[in-house]
Amino acid sequence: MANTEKRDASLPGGLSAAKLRLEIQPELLGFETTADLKPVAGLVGQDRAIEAIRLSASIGDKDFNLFVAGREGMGRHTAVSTLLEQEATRRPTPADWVYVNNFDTPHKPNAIKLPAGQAPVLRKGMEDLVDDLANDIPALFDSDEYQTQRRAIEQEAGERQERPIAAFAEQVKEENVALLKTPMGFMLAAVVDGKPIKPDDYAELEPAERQAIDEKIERLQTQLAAILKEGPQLEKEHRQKVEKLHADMAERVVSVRVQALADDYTGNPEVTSYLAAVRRDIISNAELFLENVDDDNNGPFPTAIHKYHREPRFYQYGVNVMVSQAHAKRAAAPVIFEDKPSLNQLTGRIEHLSQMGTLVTNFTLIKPGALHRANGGYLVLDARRLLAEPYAWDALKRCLQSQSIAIISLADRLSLGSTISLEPDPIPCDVRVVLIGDRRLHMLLVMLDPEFGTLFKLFADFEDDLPRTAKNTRQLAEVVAAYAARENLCVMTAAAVAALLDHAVRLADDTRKLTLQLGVLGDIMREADHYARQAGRTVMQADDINHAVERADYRAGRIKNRMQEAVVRKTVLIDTAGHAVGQVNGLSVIGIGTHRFGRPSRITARVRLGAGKLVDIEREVELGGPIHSKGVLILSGYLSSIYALDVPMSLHASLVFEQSYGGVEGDSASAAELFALLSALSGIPIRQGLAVTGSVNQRGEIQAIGGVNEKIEGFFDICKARRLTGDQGVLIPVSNVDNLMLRQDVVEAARAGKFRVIPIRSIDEGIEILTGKPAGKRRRNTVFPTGTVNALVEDRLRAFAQKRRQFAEAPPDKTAQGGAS
Amino acid sequence: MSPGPASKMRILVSASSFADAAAAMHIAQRMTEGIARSLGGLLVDDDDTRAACAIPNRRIVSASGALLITPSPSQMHTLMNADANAFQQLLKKTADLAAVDWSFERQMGDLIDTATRVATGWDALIFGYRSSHSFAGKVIMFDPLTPDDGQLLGLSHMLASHLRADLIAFGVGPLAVQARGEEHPTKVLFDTVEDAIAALDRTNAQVVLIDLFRGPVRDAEQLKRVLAASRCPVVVLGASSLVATVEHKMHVPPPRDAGDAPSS
Repeated sequence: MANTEKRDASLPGGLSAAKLRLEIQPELLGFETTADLKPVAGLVGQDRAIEAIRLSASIGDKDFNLFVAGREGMGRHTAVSTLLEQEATRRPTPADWVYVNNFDTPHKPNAIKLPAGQAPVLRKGMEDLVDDLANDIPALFDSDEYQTQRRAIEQEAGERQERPIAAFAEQVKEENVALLKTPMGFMLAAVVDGKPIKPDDYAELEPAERQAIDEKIERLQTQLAAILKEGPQLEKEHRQKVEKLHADMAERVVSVRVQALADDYTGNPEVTSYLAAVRRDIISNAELFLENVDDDNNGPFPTAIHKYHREPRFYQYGVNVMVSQAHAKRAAAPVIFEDKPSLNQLTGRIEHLSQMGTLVTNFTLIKPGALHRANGGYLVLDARRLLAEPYAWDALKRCLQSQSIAIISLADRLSLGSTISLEPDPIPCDVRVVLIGDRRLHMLLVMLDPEFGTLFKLFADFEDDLPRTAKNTRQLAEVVAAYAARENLCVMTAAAVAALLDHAVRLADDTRKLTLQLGVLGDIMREADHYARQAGRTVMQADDINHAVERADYRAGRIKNRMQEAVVRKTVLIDTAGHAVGQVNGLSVIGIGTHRFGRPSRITARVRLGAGKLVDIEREVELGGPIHSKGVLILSGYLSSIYALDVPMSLHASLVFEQSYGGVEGDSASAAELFALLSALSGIPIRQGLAVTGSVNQRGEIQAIGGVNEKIEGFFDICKARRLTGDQGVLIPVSNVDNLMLRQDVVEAARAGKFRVIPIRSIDEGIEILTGKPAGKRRRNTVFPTGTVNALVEDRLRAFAQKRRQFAEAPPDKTAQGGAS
Repeated sequence: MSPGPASKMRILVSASSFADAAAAMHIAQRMTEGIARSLGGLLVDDDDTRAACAIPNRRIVSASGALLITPSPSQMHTLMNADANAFQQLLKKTADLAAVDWSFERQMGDLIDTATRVATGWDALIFGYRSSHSFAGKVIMFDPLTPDDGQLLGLSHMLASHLRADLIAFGVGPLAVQARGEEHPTKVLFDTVEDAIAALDRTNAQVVLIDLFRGPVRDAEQLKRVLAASRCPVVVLGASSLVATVEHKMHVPPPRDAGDAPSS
């Protein structure tokens, strides 16, 4: 039970206000406002990462792809973009790539490499070729020359067919036989009296006569069949002659037109070869160009200016430009940021059209992906998004390994495709991939994907903070000024910059560091700019920055306030005054999203005779994490190595975080737990106006913990809500003094002597402050001075051991009574 | 008297099978475009063909040269019904496309006799003949022996144009006249109709056009030989003149003294 008392004069004063918040002095920054500063481009304190990025951007080896790791808002994207854009200007402009029809194997379109900017030129050339031929070829086939030759072929074929039939008809007539037509074909019948013989008349004939007629009819039937069987062969020959005529006629005009186009590409054997294939195909399919001969020539767009190349029937002569530098703004390698790195977006896709209910495709429906656009340059991807897209990571690795971009749809990869598809020529790939992610993702990739290390040899690790030197402070101020200028924010006074940098120190959790979370600082600046403009000012003041920080805390502080309210209303029992045995205020940090705050917890200890067991109730109910359990076990080690070394440890102790209904992790409360335990053993009450944070080792040394500012402020807020007595404060590890960047109101309270932050190095130092009694050092006679905390603890432990021995020696019916406190 | 070129024609397509009718409809389709008023179809179930099929051990030679067993009478009946149905459907489709009236009739008998008898009142009669090959032949017209208003020549030109074929005129005898008001086609002169028919037998024709009223082909026998020799559809103008010739040789009622009957 806590007992209240008057102000305790034996309490140490704690750290001075100056050490609680080591602020940056505006006058030392060397400027009045950011308008005086020359904005600098680039990054501060990221030399290690910049070197990796530059190396990846400039080295020729194909496997030196880069993984950029760092926290959100560290300026990774900006840094990568800036550095790659710089390096891109030193690399040659990459070539253009097009897909054209493969006339021999249409489902395997050919890829052709062209000099930069030439792809649209070739496409236009082919469009013009089609338009020209669509006018030239019909005119050619309408000429007298063609018509005459065509008629000659038709006449020759007709005569070759008619001649034997005419001869047969003559022969039939001479042999007195009639040629009859039936629905199934021709039939021969003997003629009697100028008419085909009737069945009755035939039956009345002499057998010899019938046989003669039958033989004649059979012979003529066979003869007619032979003549008619010649038809298909004659038609085939005729067709071949017509095709040859078409080819000969078409070749004249096609060759001239194609050659005119080919002359522009004499140095490119791939284009020359393609144009030769185009020439052959057009010549052999000249009739394709004759379909427009009946078109109306009197409309607003007469035949001569009709865009024939847009008609679907001419698609095979099109040129599908996959990537072209024709419209590039500068002569440099491309730097492509792909925000949605799905498989299709990455490697390109083959689209389909619905025709008569069926999906069809052709090479003009091949669409480029980010790898095509970045070919010859750099491709920047978000690692997490990439890994979240099905098959995208695998496809990227395949492309990097094979150094070629193969377009294979997801349906084909899974063998789910049920319609026709294409197998385009893979396009050679020379791209440097930069993945931006976090360190955990990088570690997972290294561990789980053996190919990752082979393909991504470089790692750019962005620093979270930089040393707080005068030079770095000045440089960060220049970066802040550059950001303000770039974002059109108000000019900032030196005090405003100093306030912002103070916040940077706070974010770094270290008074000797400045955070590099430029995104978070930028958010504060924009909000402060808003308040400044709202107040009608054009210059941002320190108050604007502080107000922005304060309001951001307020907006995120709903849970924090609820918890404080629970303590103030004694729903959660926390004493901030008086003394209590076996009870101490521990401190923990709770993170809600990006917001963290501290809250006190009551830690209690109970001891009794036992077999040397220290029970961590949190662990027993599986609410304690492994590190917390480790801390508790260290306590056991401390007790057994410091006290009553010559007797068995006969203690049964239990430790608990009171009113803790969630998990407890971390060892920052281990010192507080030990203090509670020592209090319980010694029976000396602990000051409840103090809270403790810090971990402890087996030698009793207090070790550094995280979140010290939030913890102190959390306890301060509770004390302040209940009234600051002047006897309140927090014990922190001395090694955490450099991390102090407390809120201004805490600093003011300390300055006024209403609150104190006391650094401690050891358990003895801490227990003396908490109990107001000397800890006691073991003397030469191996005992602690009488009346000291340690002596009381040791006496209690010895008493436990003694009673335990007595208990063991006593008859079964006489049980010893062990003390519990 | 045949209708002038400006008049709308009534066209009758006659055939003894659907294969023949389809070839004739190909020509009729060209003629319905602009100059037809109505379209008729006549399927003649030929007596001679049915009789020939009943003779044992006969074979049918298909268009591709295969030898087929002759159909039984019931099979023949079924085949003709199917052909009639197909013919009627094609006729209807063609007439609907040209927005003209149509009618269909089926009769038994000799093709030419039946067709010329039914053709009374029709301006043009087309005899069908199946095509045995796909080579585009010529358009052949028999130049009328007596002057006409250029209808046959105009029709021939139109078909030649539609079919993208050469037009050749067969002139018979020294009195062969030239059509007026039209560009005259290539002309081949023959002494007799028999010579012209013999030449037609050796010519690859797409369609043959004749005017029975103005010659030189005038009777059914010649018409039969023209149809056999052309091996393609034959367009006949003035078909009703054949019936008229028969009628003028008869007296209704018959004269008491047959020896005094006047001849036309």
